[in-house]
Amino acid sequence: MALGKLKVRRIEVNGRLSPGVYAKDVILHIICTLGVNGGTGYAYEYAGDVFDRFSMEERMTVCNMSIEGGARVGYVNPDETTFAYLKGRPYSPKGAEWDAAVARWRAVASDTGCAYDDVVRIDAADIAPTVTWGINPGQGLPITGTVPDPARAKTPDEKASIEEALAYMKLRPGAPIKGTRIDVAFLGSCTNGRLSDFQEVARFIKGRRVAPGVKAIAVPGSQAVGLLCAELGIDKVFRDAGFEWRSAGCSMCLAMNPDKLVGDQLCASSSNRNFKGRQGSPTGRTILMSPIMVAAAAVTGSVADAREVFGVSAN
Amino acid sequence: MALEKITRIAGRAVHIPGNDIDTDRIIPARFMKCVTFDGLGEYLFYDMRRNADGSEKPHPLNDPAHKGAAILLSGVNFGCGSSREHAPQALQKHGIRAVIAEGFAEIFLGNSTTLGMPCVSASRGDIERIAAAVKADPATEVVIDVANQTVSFAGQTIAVSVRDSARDALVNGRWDPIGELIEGAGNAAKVASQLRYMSA
Repeated sequence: MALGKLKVRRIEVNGRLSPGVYAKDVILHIICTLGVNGGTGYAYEYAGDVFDRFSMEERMTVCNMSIEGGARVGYVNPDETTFAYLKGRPYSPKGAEWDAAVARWRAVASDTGCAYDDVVRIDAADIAPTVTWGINPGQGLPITGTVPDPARAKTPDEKASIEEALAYMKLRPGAPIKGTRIDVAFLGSCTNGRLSDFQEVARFIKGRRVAPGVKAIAVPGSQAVGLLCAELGIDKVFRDAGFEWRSAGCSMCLAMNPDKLVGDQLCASSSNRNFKGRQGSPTGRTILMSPIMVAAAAVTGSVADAREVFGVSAN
Repeated sequence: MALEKITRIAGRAVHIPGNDIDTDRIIPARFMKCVTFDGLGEYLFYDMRRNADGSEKPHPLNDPAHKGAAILLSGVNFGCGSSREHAPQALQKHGIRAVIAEGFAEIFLGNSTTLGMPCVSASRGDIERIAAAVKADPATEVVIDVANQTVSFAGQTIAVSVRDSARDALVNGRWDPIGELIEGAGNAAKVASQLRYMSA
């Protein structure tokens, strides 16, 4: 068979995430730490306190971007959170079949004390709201950081890669990423277009307005999410704040519909890829971030620290 | 279901240098609306090859000397990004039959293998040697021996590697995993019945 057996890397994130730090920041941090090809040949198993507490939707955000870290697949072992999420859904097994299914799913989980090909441990407290500065998802930094300087690169490859990214992104080495002007804010995609993403952002944008000159679009990841948002009045909160509330779909994640960047517009995006040309314009620029950070960028008109913009207090 | 045994690929080569060349670079996502993959080859490396007005930029694939190249040479982590098969399809539809690079993104390698397009890993120095020979004479014939993991060109032969599982599938004509699964459904069921977590 063409598929070889994968190695397994357990990535534990322990402790507590700081206020204003979300699942998207966790996976961007992991990819920045291990590299965009760090996962080649691996399946990523996510575990630890943070994943134990995460909802299924937060786990999906992280697993979704395993590919961006080079891994073939990413998973969190099935647990009570998984079963609670699945129970009662339209295509979930019912009655005795449900009990049998739960027993089967439990048996799939990794055994306690099993051996891994690699284990990586990350302290949740080390993860900040994370944004990208370059042209792949591993080129990221904390919102408080500065754009890297190719002169300080450790290898010629790294130097070339930073130079190529900065030329494309039109960013200056050493400049703070915070304050970079944006043209478009995109909230949606399979990475961050779930109900909890819109609910969380709605809490903060109530009473706020999208900055003049910024095109902000909110796109539910599925029709089911769109319907739930409408039932809960979340769409209205977004519209009142000046977002365009759209029908469900992929939209500006990959620009297969008319939602495209124009020229070298810069987009604060909750999607998963910041490759050259990804959002529809061959010179369009993408900065990946969490939904709350997209909202902060939308209301300020520049890449911003959502903790400051929305008064999320640190511990 | 036995398919063509892919043991040897010979042809001219084209060098597209760079690391982390992603699937959007290979085929920008906005061109992926096709129902079949026909015609996708035309958009291969589109934004690298063309200006906004459609005119050509200098690019190895626009160079008439490399027209008809069957082997693409590149750097580290080639094909990172999308899990869709559009990137290998675009390469194949353009006429590329194998890629020699320093390394490949996992899913790109899998997708390419299931199209019968070998992903061959070589050292940077060796890729540069092939590229230099191709630059000196674009008509240089590059021959990949998949089974023996060598590449020959301009009187030289270098050792390369093709991942075991992919090599086995290619050289035995068993690179269609769906065909393999259909053919082996009985065996798959037998193995499944012996797995503790499948029978619980």
